[in-house]
Amino acid sequence: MSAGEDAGRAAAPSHPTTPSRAGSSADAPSGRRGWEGSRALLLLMRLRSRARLRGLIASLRRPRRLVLLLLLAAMIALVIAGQVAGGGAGHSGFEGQNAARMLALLLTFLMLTTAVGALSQGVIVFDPAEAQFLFPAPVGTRALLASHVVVALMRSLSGSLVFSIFLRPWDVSFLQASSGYFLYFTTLVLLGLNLDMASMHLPPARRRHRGRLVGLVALLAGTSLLAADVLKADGFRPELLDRIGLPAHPWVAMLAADTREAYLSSLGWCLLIIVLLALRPLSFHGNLRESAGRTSEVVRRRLVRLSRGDLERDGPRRTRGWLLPMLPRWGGAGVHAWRQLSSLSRRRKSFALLVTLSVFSGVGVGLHSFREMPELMAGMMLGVLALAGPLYVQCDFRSDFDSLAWLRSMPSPPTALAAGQLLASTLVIFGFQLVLGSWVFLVVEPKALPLWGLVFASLPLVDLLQLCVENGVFLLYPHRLDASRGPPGALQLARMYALMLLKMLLLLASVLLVALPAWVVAVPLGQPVLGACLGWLLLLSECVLLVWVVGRLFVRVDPGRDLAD
Amino acid sequence: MIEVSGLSKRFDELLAVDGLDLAVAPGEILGLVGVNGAGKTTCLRMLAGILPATTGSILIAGHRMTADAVAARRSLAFVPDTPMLFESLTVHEHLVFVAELYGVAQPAPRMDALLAEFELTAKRHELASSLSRGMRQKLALVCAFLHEPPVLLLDEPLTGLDPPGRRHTCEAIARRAAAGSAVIVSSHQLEIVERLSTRFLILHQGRVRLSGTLEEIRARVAGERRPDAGPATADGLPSFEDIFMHATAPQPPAGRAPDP
Repeated sequence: MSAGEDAGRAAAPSHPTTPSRAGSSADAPSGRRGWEGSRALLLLMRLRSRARLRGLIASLRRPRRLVLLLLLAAMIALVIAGQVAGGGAGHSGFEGQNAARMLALLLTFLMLTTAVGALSQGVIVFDPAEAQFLFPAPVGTRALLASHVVVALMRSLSGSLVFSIFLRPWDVSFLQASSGYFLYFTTLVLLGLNLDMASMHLPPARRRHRGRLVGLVALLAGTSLLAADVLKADGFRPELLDRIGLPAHPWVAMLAADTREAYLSSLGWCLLIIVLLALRPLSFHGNLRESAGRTSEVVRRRLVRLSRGDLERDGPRRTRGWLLPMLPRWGGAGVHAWRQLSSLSRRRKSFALLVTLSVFSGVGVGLHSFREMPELMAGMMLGVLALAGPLYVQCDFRSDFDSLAWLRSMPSPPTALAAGQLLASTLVIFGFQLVLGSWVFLVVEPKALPLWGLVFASLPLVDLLQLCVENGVFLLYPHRLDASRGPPGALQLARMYALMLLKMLLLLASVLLVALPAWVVAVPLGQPVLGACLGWLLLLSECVLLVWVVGRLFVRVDPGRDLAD
Repeated sequence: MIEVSGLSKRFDELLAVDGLDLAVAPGEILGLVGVNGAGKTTCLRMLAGILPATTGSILIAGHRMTADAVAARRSLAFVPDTPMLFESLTVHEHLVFVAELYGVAQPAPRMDALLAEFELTAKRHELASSLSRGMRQKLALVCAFLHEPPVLLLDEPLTGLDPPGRRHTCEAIARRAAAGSAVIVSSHQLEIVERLSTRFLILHQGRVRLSGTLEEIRARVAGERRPDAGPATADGLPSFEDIFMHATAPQPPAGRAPDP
């Protein structure tokens, strides 16, 4: 579609019209310029809303989903009760302005990520079905854009409700908080639209570079501003963050307003910004379909990749041709570990966050103020890595979602297969811990060497234990690529929290099972070495048991549910 | 009904379609074939008004795609290679929505007829998410046929269908063409394209390699072919698959004679 699609209609020469035999084309009301098809879009929204409601009601008939919904309701009730209790206990507003400061930083950060995302990739996204039905249909560009805005605003409304529940100042009414957040999210939607429209004409590669450049410049500007203030003030004080959070000031002022006048004044500013941002979309004549189609495809692919535990953009197109030497068979485990390890070099970006975390931790250790408590620092860092590692390194069952049926057809005993699948992730996480631990060792020169030895010997087992729990939960509830087969809307959120809770409980139980007997031997019986050895052996036994359990869970997964016909 | 001239599409460095000219008259079925990456889907997407052309003009049922896109789109239906449906809507709701989208007057009898024709009547109230791959493809076709468009653009319309489904769909497409629709079918299933189409266009690296009726391209290829090249039909003429292989074979570098 060219820029003149809508505008050119009036000026176009009169071509002979060939009405379709359905009697539809010529009879259909063409509507105002650019708004053709609005009625159909409204009908689609109505049908989909009804379908969502139908899905929610249908899901309540299933006991597991009813439990999830009750869990979500309980969580919300708990948060609201906490807020009421906090308000009753005399807490006021954003106490000491520190919370307001943090909120301003959060909202500014969200604004920056929206801007960078809109510039580099675009924010006007349609789902595949919308693209299939609406793009080749007689729907005007502005009607299409308006439908996107309406959907985005509906999401803003639900986002503002969630933010109002979880991030509401103590003495601010729910209405004030939700209106403030709604106007903030509306601004984000319109800001994204404007920046997306301004970049639509650029080729994708140039667009990406420009977006990244803007993000980098904003980041450098913020850091420089803060560094200059810190130098001027001869030290860091929280007030220095105010300048960085300035872009979100009108909305934070509205959220934190304690008088009617202050609220109305900030409301006026917010509405003015929204009106100014809405002017451009209202007069839009651009090439929406190609740009939105491209963005939608990028987003769709990313979602599919994320659900497969693969964060790579497109992956390398070819390898260097070298082959990782095959591991020993180990009853079939070796070949699965080899497969996962071979794919490691192609998943480098998946580890970017872990590398960043490690670098920051390493720099933190180098700082003078942390050298006074080396064991504590080292323990904290390794613990953080142990907790974060399994979330980001997913070279196991979680990255094999599409191949579960194929894996099932392979001639490997389930326990050996599970061990092979879990080995690669364990080795990667332990590798990070080993490098970081060695660095800590060099920098802080710790005294308690046996403790360090025990920590290093236990780390791979702790990692494996966690991966067993992660993979076990995944095999209990494999995340469906096709979201419609999973629970709808809010229930997905409830399921996410329920699974997190389940994982934490399982981990806690596993650690207690090991720690309690070891502690009894080490402390009351006065045998620390024996206690440590017992703890290590128990941990090893628990890992072996859990690998077996993961193997059994893999056997009972029904991959047919996720296979296409 | 479909008139395309000088159509090109450039994606950054890649020239996906290069100077395409084609015309499809009412009642004709054009078989658009080519190897993967030849530019077939890009071409169909441009014809459907999803992608803007870099150069060239597209006329759909008398409406220029650049100047009168809405009217042009109203006259066509596009079925992509993978049917993307609204998973939470039922089969019937899809049809209600499409009828409203294209302004179909009194759509109920036509819906019933199409559902019966594609054996979807029993699935009328089932959600799209519960349909099998073949059923989804059938629903996409029913949606495309509902407003009886004068132009049909079908990208791999038979994917996922069982043999009876394939035969019924071929017959349905042929019936639409016989009723006056101009149809473009893109597919890798050469034998079906051969049976269904009245004319052919073989696209390679974005350019037209061969076009015309089967007899025309057969005669052209028979004249160019080496005596030892590939199988031939019983009457000694090259098969359509043979023609396709010939047209999409790597060309010898310019200025160098082909190997003996």
